[in-house]
Amino acid sequence: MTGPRRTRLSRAIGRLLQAVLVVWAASTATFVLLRAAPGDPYTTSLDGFSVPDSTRALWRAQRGLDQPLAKQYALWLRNAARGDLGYSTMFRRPVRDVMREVLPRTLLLMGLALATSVLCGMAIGAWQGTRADSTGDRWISRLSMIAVSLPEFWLALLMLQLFVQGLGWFPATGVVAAMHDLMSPGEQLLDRLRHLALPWFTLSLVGTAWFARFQRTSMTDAWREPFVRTARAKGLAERGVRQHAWRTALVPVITLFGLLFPALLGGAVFVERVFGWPGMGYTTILAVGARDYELVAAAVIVGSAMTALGSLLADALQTMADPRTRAS
Amino acid sequence: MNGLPPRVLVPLVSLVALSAVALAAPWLSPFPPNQIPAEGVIASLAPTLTHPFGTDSAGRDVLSRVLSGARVSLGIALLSVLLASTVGTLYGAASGWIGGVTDSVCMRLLDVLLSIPRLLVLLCVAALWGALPLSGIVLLLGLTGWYDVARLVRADVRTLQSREYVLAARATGAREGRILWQHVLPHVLPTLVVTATLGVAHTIALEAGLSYLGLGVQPPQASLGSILSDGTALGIGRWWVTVFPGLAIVGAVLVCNALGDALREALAPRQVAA
Repeated sequence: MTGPRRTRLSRAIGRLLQAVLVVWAASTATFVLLRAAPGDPYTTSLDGFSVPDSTRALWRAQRGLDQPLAKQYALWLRNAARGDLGYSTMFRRPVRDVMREVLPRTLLLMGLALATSVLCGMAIGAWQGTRADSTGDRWISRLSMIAVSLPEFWLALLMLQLFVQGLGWFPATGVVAAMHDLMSPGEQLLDRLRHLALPWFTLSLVGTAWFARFQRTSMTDAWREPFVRTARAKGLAERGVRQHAWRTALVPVITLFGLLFPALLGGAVFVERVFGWPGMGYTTILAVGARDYELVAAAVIVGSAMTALGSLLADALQTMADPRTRAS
Repeated sequence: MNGLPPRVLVPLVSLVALSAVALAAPWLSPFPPNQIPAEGVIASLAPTLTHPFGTDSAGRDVLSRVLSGARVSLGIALLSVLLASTVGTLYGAASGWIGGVTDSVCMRLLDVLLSIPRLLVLLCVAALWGALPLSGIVLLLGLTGWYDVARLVRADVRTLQSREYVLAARATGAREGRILWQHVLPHVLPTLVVTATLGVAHTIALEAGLSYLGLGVQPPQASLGSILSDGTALGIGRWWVTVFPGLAIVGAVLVCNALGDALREALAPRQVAA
């Protein structure tokens, strides 16, 4: 009994180490980029030309930018490990505080979109898999091929022009309306949903198509396995047969879950930008425009940590879904 | 051409046609794409016979801009995928062929690189360096896009390594480099072609997104994405500046995705790996 359990434990520790490695690599990469870039956070931004050089030198000294490179790197890593990601020159607040405010909004949007994509995509793909090469299957395949070819930002722009600027059904930007605090709880919920609807839908559509395509392939393969014929031959109801096949078809789709995470994060950046959803993506783009060095660097680190956690989760799910990974 | 199944032929012909139109853009464009007309042209004009795609807020013909933008966007996507495929093949082949600890370390490194979201890195570089020239964009997209290629090539090389004909070549005394080049890499080609085709699709969309944000191709130069940012600057009601360049992007991405999918079935690179 201890054998499999021990390998499972060491596997989990290995994955955890990898996640730590990812965050370290992202921190190192951003450090290299920040130092290789022309100028530093304190050359141009922060009150422009009115700040005397002596003050800038003081700021640099406070952030340790006057130290030798190796020492700066050690300081950068130590700060990152403590969760101190620097100072945002645009918001004039520590980056950590900005992240704490905007990250939950991105996580909400991504979480909803991911859940929708998984549920709808799996249902559609599984339905297709049991009817491979039928007319319905072919049409849905064509549609999902088109859907995965739609860039999120363009889809978002179309939605914006049609439903916000054209028909006026949805509000244009933000998380809640200006009058939000004066509304009744029911109205507040409705207000939140109205703001969420378009970004949610846009991000979910492409994700759904990806999952449907993967689930279709794996379900089609599973449907041709001999055990499906056996299940049917022994008199199992069609519903039960489907469940058997779907269980087998699940594993490759879970792998996609981990792969889709960075793609979804990228999509969220564009969707947030177009709909003015003040999450991490939108804030990052604003920060790029303002040349807010450390905020953008922090976005890379936080995004990498999110992706690493996502693949950790996918790995755990895979272990649960596939008995073979448990045995070996 | 007769031997090709229609699933491959249709997107292949479409892609060739699209590329031909993009290449011929300077001769096909009815108006200069980037130059703002001096007078006599109405800005933000809805589609008419002289301007089938309308004009943008500066009075430039959107059709001419789409044609010229397609040339820039397709060029960037093709070149950066070429770069990514080269780097990815070299890395993957070397890692797989050498094997052992080197291989493990290389693959771990690849896992880590894959976990750093590409778009955020691109945004970071854009923030730090500001506007990049076209060659810089190609370099940036190429050098952040080779991880998938490397992994797939490495997997193929690992399985091909133990094939009998490789052993036979080694038994006849062929040098390692020659075996890799003559007996292994040709069989990696199907995987490479499929990945590259899908990579072009992805890169077109990515470049369009970056240029839409104003971080890719810089104005007044048109790219399929940068035309779109003009459509939303003042926005309301000027649907043609959003719809037509967008359809061009979706068309190009769709054709490449369809071709990649069809090639995957036709060439069945998985059989090579199996």
